This record gives sequence, structure tokens and C-alpha cells, in this order.
Amino acid sequence: MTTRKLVFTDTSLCTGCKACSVACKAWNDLPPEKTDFVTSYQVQKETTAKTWTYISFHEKFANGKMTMRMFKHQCYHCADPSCMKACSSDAIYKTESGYTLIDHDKCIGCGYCVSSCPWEVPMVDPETKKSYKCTGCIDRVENGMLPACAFTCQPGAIQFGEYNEMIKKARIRLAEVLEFYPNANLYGEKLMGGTNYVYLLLDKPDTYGLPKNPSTPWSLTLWKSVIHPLGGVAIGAAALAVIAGVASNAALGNYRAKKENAENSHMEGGE
Amino acid sequence: MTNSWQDMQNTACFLIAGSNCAENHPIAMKWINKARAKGAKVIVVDPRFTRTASQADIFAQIRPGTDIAYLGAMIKYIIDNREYDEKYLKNFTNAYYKVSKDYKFEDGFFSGFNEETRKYDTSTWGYQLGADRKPIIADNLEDPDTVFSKLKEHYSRYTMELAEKITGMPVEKILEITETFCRIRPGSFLYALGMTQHTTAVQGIRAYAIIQLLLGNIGKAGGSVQALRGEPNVQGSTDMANLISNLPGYIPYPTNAQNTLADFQLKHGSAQYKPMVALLKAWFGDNATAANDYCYDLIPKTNPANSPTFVQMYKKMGEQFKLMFSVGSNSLISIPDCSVVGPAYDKLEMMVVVDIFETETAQFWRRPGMSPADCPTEVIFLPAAFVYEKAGSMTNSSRLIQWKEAALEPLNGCMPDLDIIDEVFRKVRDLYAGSTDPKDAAILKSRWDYGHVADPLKVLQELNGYDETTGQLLPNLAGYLNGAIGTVSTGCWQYAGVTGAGTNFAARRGDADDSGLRLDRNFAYAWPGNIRVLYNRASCDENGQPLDPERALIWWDPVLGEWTGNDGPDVVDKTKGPDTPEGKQAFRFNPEGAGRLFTAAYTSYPDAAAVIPTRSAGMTVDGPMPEFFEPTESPTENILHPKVSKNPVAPVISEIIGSSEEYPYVLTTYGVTEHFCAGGITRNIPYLNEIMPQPFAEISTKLAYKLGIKEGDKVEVSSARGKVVVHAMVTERIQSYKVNGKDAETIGMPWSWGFAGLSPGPSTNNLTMSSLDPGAGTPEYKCCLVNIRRA
Amino acid sequence: MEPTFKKSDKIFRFTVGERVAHWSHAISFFILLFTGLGMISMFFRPAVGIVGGIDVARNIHRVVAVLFVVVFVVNLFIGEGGRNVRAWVREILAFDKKDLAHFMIFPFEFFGLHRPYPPQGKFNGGEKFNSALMITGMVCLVITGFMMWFPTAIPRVILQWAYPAHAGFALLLTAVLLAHLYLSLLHPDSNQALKGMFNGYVPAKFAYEHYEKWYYKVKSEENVKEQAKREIAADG
Repeated sequence: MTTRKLVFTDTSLCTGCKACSVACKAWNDLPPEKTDFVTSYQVQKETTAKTWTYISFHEKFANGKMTMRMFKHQCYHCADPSCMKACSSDAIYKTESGYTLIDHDKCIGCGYCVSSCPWEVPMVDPETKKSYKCTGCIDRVENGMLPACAFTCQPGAIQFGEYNEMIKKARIRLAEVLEFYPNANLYGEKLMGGTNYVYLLLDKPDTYGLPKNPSTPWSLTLWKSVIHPLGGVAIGAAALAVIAGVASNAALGNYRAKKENAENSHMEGGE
Repeated sequence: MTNSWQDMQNTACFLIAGSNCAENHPIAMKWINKARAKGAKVIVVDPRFTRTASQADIFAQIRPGTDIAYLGAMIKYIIDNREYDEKYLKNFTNAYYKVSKDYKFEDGFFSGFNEETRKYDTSTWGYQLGADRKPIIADNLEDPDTVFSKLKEHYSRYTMELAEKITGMPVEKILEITETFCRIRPGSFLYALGMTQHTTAVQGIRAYAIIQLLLGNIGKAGGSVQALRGEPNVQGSTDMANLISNLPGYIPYPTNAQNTLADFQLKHGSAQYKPMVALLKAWFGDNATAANDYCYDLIPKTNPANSPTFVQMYKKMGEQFKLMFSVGSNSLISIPDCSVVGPAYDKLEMMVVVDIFETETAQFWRRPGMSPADCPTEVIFLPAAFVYEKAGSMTNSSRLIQWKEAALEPLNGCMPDLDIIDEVFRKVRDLYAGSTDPKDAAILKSRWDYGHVADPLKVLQELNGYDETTGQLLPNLAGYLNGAIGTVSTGCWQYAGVTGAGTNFAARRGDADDSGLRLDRNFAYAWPGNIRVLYNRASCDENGQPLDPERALIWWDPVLGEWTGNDGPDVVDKTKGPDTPEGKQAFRFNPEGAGRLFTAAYTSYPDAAAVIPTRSAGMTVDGPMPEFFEPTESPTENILHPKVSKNPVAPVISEIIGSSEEYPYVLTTYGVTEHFCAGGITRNIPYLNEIMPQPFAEISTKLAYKLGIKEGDKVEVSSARGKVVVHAMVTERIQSYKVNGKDAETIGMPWSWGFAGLSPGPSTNNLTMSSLDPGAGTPEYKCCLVNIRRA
Repeated sequence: MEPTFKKSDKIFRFTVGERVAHWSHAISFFILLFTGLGMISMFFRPAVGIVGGIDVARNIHRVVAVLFVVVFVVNLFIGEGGRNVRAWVREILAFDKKDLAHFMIFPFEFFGLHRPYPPQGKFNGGEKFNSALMITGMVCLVITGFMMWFPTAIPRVILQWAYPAHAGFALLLTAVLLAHLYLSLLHPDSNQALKGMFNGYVPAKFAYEHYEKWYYKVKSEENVKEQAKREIAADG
């Protein structure tokens, strides 16, 4: 029986060296992509089918003090993932250890997960026509190894462990950091049912370009919880009406009447 | 490093200046973060707000090349406010020593300056000596002749306000940094090329040493001056004498004034004589005998008048140098003012490049603007094995000698460097077989035998050394120290003991450590004698007991009658107690045995009548105490002494010097975490090109606004020596600042690109300045003047 | 006065153009529905196996969607004597009291309970409503489908709404389709209309009973034509 795991990224320790993104690619055999500067030292602007994790840079100069914050983006492995809800093919599933994974045998690359993720994480590869994202290195984790990014992180910003232990650690670290950074917060713990990748942020989420309250899009809820059932009901109702119509016409003898009429070569007058 | 990487976790306050360790030594952050978890403070001083600065509690932006100005202000503050550790000064430093009456400092010059040679005669920088030829030590610090008084006087000019005018750092910032660093001990300085690539490089580090000695921050766990060296084995290469002035083991290189071993001994003392003989024994084996001066004559002697360092060499290509053997160096890109390099190589008869990729240097004949047909040089490329394909030892910044095995077989006929060198040497030796020409004797008499296929362990064993009478490996450092001259050999005396008599200590991976300080003495082997914190005698009081029981390194055990502890005791003799003259010394490799606040010219003798000295002091060639000089190209004059604005003894190699009228901005160059040095390897690794795709110029938002430059624009950066066009990175991480009341701007550029490889790009070293630190010969890469405009 | 009809009395209802438009639309709708259901629902997913699997089905969906749009556009411009899709759209959009009246009796008619039939134009109120729904639905399906095909070109917020909209309209039109099929195939009265979609003619009696106004309009036009023919013949 596997237990729930947590990757805790303490951004106060992240130096933006990007080694995690290289380690991720090396382990997962993802090819490099052509890049250019986005801002500062940032060269990747979003996760792609071939880039499952990247670092964003956020510079701010205010009151004579410079800050440069880094944030590691990848799939958050939500407890209640909207990608899974959106998936047309039951290809996205949760593991007991808390990972959200895509079964590429089932994935048809419809892209519904892409637009449904509040962090815009999964991406469809235009060549293989499958959706890709961080797997949490479940192949490593299930064999007792650290995720590639955590393994390579020299400053120790990316930490991996049992959920309960790590979340405790994260809360303790938050309490320490709050003394110097009043806006510090844990990002993810209470989002999307509780993510399995939780961050210590030194500032408000928008500083990092992150949504404050990421949630399952209304459109997705409407689609999957209202339109699909309602559509089914509508079609069912229509089908029932048809059956009722046939039955009613039959009971009223309309089919017979029609037939008689048809046999009558002298159609005269109305019915 | 005086201490080790792991020891950083014991530090309470870091002053990281001249190092961007988060980017260029990511492993440092692992240990710094352990210290931070215990409440350590991090101060970063840098021309730019770097990724290291993002981790700092205090950050100050400094004008490149002006460190000594604020460090001088720190020294003044420490003295004025009596923040120094008086006991430490008395016990372990030369603070109380009386300086020669002839020593002077006037108008930017120390005494002894020779206008003609533009060099210092250092003889006036000595001590007042007693009849026993030992320095006279004063009773109190305030004595006007003491080193301390000289220090106080010298830095009395360095006010906080002056430091602000020179560095652009506000007074409050300098004050905050100084107060923090004084208050929180033990403190460590972390530096790298940011401090050393200046014409005042050695003196900047001397300033660190002075501050640390004043504060009692040397010889202690967590108290250190940490040189973060540039690659995993750069310490090893220095140990093996990659500097022109050394032989392996930092033996002074013999000049043509020392044609016999006796001359050498007379000049450098018995302390250098023994390792010299041991080295000769290692190199020439049984051919080296007392009768033939241990083959000392087979070592070429340098002519100090014509002994170019690496950078100076390019002016002598084709004349003094006809063949270049370039191993793992991408000099076409890495040399300052690098446009001189290609034409210099065109004058060689032959160029051999050993590398894992065809670097720019390997294809200098294909450089832009050069027609290969016009290059007469014969070029040979030897494909080398990569780091994981070769066994051997690497010595890191901690002086830690670590053994590794090859993980993979080299592919496609690539060979480990050792195999290449071994094969070349043996073929050359075959060609000279039977020659009686004296100049060939060094080759023919050499004891070069590392096996049929060269075995790297045999190389390390040669460094470890043998008892030449038995042919047995030396079991430890004592084996060398106690062996009679001529009976022991070692290829590098500090390495004596590394392989032991059978156990290769460098290959140890023991992680047990009960000191709580992560000394990790069972992990590999640190020279000398597996000591992890140098000068650790200074962590003890007069009685030899640890000053800080929480950070106990060594102590005198009166019952055993010897120095012992968690670390290897860095003492002259383990059995000499704290009340003996030897047992008091914390800095045993200085002739006076004391930490030097003032680099006095001093030679120790075994007794008053002796002719042969014991040891000569290592000297700074440009002054006994650090003095601030403007960089070779500077936007302003030196307000301390406008007539001597620049370091008067620094050699300037570049022929064109720009003016601040034409080139108003200061350029500073650096590496980024994503690429390594000249990029010979990293620009051929697609993953790294992906995360840092091209070179750039970082400019302040104010300068960008003034020049109409937007982020992502192409900009042309030009110096008096060249120009390059790169991506503009407009950032608030560099702020405009004031120098001597005038607005000033710094532009930052990484330098890792060249015309070849998978990620070609313009080379920043087309712009940089070739002027050298007079002591170390390090070029002033870190500052020159440039202009910038939209391309 | 009610006219009398012979069984062979027919009246011309749909031109070839209109019939082509109808059937091309119908066929593509079925294909899109079939492949679309395969995509959206794991219940229907196995069914698309008959076309070669979901990947083929998705390609078919796209190809047919394009054909569907192309055919629709072409239909806008073909058709004899002004009797084309544009004319149909105009008629559909002219909604008045008589159409409303049809709404009132439609539920009864649906189940075979006859009520006095309010006179209707060429298309009755129910048909107009059905057609209007279909037009609106198809336009929305085309737009949202286009977005889904090129998701990277569309702002995510809009794209997020395109999915439910596409599914919603498809399901709605499917419900409407069921009713349409019932009325055209299974309903004892209205299934007469089906003939019109095959050969263009419907029984005159059926036309009179269900589209009285249109019936008279056609008749009067025929009379005018007859009159003209006679006059030409007389002159000749």
C-alpha cells in the first residue's frame, strides 16, 4: 500500500539555477527545445509536451530593495484535478501516492485537459497527439529514488517525502519565514483539493504570476456536471416523447386510419 | 580555501564578495543553506544583483574593481571601534611586531618604488630585528612602530564617506555590512574570480585576510577565507604548478640566479630545499644523487626579465614560442582582449589541441575573417576522453584530493589525457634515445614509468612519494617530513600520505563524523596531512584549549602530551605543547609563524649565525598592505592620490586604452550558471543551450531609457579594443549609481560564447582589458570601459 | 370551400438544391454526431471502432466538419429560381402569429391528437423553430469547433467555454433530431413530408392540410402561370 507523497518546494532556497529542468529532461528523455529569453534569465514561458518543469523569474525593485524571486513550474498533482475531470478518454487518473498521471494508451490528445488546468500545465504534443506533463518521476519514486528534480537540487529547495511529514515541515518553515516575510504563504496545500506539490512562497502568489485561487473552471463544471447530464436527459426525454408519440398514435388508431386512407383511391374531404 | 565546503555550515555570517556562488558554485548553497537554517546571515557585495544576491539578507551594489575602498573602511571601523580580537592578535598575528623605520607610504607609493623598472624593492617592508635576527615584538599595540599602528595609520584615510564616493555603495550600507560582520562571528569571506580578476587582485584578498585576522576569524570552524575555485580540479592544477612561478607543491621556480641547488637553498631556505630534492628524486629517481645535485641542472631556469605569463605569451608567439600544446583550454575565447589570440596562433609552427569537442581554439584557423589557406600553422587535434571516461584524482577548493574511477570506456578512439601525454612522452623519449646532447638529458634521465598502459594511480603514488631506499610508498606526511634528504621522493610534498602505504586515502568515502562540524575526515584526503581547517591552532587559547567548545577542532592533551582533536592539528610538532615557541604558532608556513597583517619581508634562520635560511616570507609585490587603486580603465580618477590613480606596478598588455569620454560605462564580465567558462563543453550540450540560449548585456532601466533600448533589442557594446552585438537584458538588478558625485553605470555581460559549437555567439573578451595583477598575473577581466547603443 | 384531391394530386415542394442541401446536411450531421459521441463519451467510444478507431474518427470529424461548412456555403448560392438555402433562411426567419398558433396545437399533433390546424405557410411554426435551432446550433458548433481545432490560437478563457458550448449544442440538436426523425418517419401524418425530400413533391392533400396558406399560394401561382400559358396559346 503506497502512501501519499509530497514534494515541498521552498522557494526561499531556490537560486534559479535551472538544474531541475535539465535533470527532468535527462531522466524523462525529453528533447531540448529552441528557446529565447522571456524576461530576466527566464527562457521557458510555459510547460510544454517536452518541457515538464521550468523556472520563472520575477524581479521587483521597490523602496530601494531589489528582490528576485524564482518559481519552479510543473504539474501540481492536485487531489481533485480538473484535467482528470475534463479528460474525454478516462486517460487521466490518480495514484494512491497522490500523483495525477496520464495513460498514453488511452489519451487521444483532445486537449481538454490543456485548457482545463488552472495552471495551464498539460500540453499536447502535435506529433504524437498525446498530452504530456510532469509524472512526478513516479518511476523513480516507486523504486525508492527521489524525483529527478529533487535529487539534483543542490540548495535543497526541492524536498520530497511522506505527505504528513513534509506538510508539517512546510508549516514549520512557513512559521520561520513569516518573521521576515509577512506575506509568505504555503501555496497548494488548500488548492484544488490539496496539491501534492506544495510551495513556500515569500510573497503573494501574484508576485510569481500565479493565480491566487486556482479552481476548476466554471465552464468545465458546467460542461461535465450540467450540460452532459442535461444533454442526456434532453435526449432521453426526446426519445421517450418519440416512443410516447408512436404509442399514442397507435392507440388512437392513426396508423390504421392512414393506411385505410391510402388504400382508398378516392380521397375526398378532410379527416 | 582555509576551510572546506562542508565547514560553511558552521559559519554565522557570510560576506560573499567576488563570488556568485549560487550560480557558479551551486554546491556552496547546500552548505550555506545549512548555516542559514541555524540563523546565519548572508551579505552579498556585487556589481549586480545576482542569483546569489537573491538569497542575501544584505545586498550592496559596488562599482567593479573598488573592493579595497570599502574593505579599507571596514578595517578602519574595526580598529577605531576596537572590534578586533586583541588576544588573537597577540597570540597568532604579527600585530605587535615592530616594522622597519624605513617603511613609508606616501602619495600612493610605498617605499622602495623603482621608477625605471616600475617594481618595488621590498626590503624596506621588513621588521625591526633583534640580535637573534628575530622580529622585535612590542609590549602594546599602540607602540607607533607596530604593524597594528601602521595598519591604523594606513587605513585612517579610508572613511566610510570616502568608500561611498569610490564604490558607489551608500555609507549606511557599508556601515550595516561592517557592523553585521563584526557582530556575528565566526564569519567567512567567500570569493572567486570577482575578486581576483583585477590589477589589485592579491591585495583585495589580503584585505580579506587582514579583516579576518583582526576579527579572529581564521583557524576556526566557520571562520575562513574561502576561495571558491573555478572547476573541480583547479586546486589540483595549481598544486601541480600551473602557475609560472612555481614547481609542484608551491616550490619557488628556480631562476637563472640560482644555477645550483646551493644557490636555491640560500635563496629560499631549507624549508624549500627539502621538497625540491624530493621532487627531483620523484622526477629523476636513481639518476638524482647528492653527487650530481639531484639533477637540479636538468630543470630549465627562468629568466625573470623574459618570462611571460599566459597572457603575455601572445606577443611572443612565433619567436619565443613555436609549438603550443593546448589541453582543455579554450584560449581563443578566454583570453582578455582576445582578438590578439588568433593572429598569434597563426605564427606558430604547430598547434596541438587536446579536447573533447572541437573548440574555437582547435579551429582558430577557421575563425571569422580568416581564410584557412592563409594559416601556415600545422594543427593537430587529439580527441580526449570526458571526465567520466577517465580515472584519477581531482583536488577541489577544500584541498580535498578525491579519487575516482572511470565509469565508461572512452568512445571512438578518444583517450584520457594521461594516456595521451604518456604516449607522446614515450615516443619523444624513443626519438632522443642515445643522444648525448645535454639539453636532451632531462628527457632521457626522467623516471617516467606509469606502466605499459599509464596507470593514474601510479601518478598519484608518485605525488605521495616513496622511500627511495626501499621503494616503499610513504605511509603518511610524517614519512616525508621525517625522512632524510635524498632518501625520500614526492612529486608534490603536500600530497605526501595521500595514497598511504597501501590504502588510497583519496578513495575513501567514509561519512562518519562525530564532531558535529562535518569535518568528514574519513572522506577522501585533504592536504596537508588531512587537515580540514587550516591554522586550527588559532581555535585554541594560550593553554591549547578550544575557545569555542561548540566548535572544538583541536586541543592539547596534557596527559598524552600531544595535540589531538576532531581535526588534524595544524601545528609545527604535535608533541610541542602550547607553552613552547612551536606550540604557540598557528601559521607555521610563515617564517615568523604568525598571521601577517603586514606582509613583511622576512627570512627566518635557524640561529643568529646561520648562513642558510630556514624560510623566506611569501611577498606581495605591490605593497605590504592593500591600497586602493582604480582599475586600468576607470571612469574616474583615484581620489586618494590622483597622481597615482592605478596600481603603479600592474603590467598593462593591451595596446589600446579607452577614455571615459568615449567609453563612459563600466563593463563587468562573468559566467552564468548555465554555461561553464569558454563554453567548450557546455555550448555543445543541447540541454544547456536550451536554458541559456545566447549571450546578453545587462543594463539598468535608467540607462536603457536614456538610450532608448528595450528588453530584447540587439545592442552593440564597444570598447577601445572591439565590439560585439548581443541581446539587451534591461533589468533593475543593476542600478545607476554615483561615483565621486557623478552618475555612473555598470553593464554586465557573460563571456562564454564563441564562433563555433552548437550555440555560437560573440565573444565578450573582444572588449576586455589585458592588464595584470602584478603578483598573480591574473588579467583584469572584471572591469573595462565600454559604450553601448542600439544595433 | 375545401378542395378535393385525387391520390395522384401532387404539389412541388423542394427543388433539387434544397434537397441536396438537406441531405448533405443530414448525412454530415450523422457522421459528426457519431464521431463526436465517440470522442466525448467512453460509452460510445467502442462504436467508433467500425471506422478504424478514435484517431480515424477524429480525422473524419474534422474532414466532415469542413465539408459540412463548404457544402453549406455552396448551397447558399445554388438552387433553381431563387429557391435556395437563402430563401429558406428568409422564410424561416419570418415568424408570425400563425406560427405561434401552430405551436399551440403541436403537442397534440405530436401525439396524434388532432386539433383544428391553423393555416401555415411553406414551413410551419414547429419547422421554423426547428430550423432556427439548427441554424443557430450549427453556427455555434462551427465556431466552437474551429476553436477546439486550433486551441493555441484561442484565448484560454474563451476556449474553456467552447468545449461545453460545443457539447451542449450538439446534445441539444441531437434531441431535436430525434423529434425530427419521429415526425418525418414515424408520425402517421407528417411523414408524408418525407416524400418531398426524395422527389420534391408532396401529396396535394397533405400540403393543403398542413400548409394551407402555402397551398393556396402555390395554386394561385400555378393559376397565373396557366392563365399566361393560355393567353400565349390564344395569341398564337
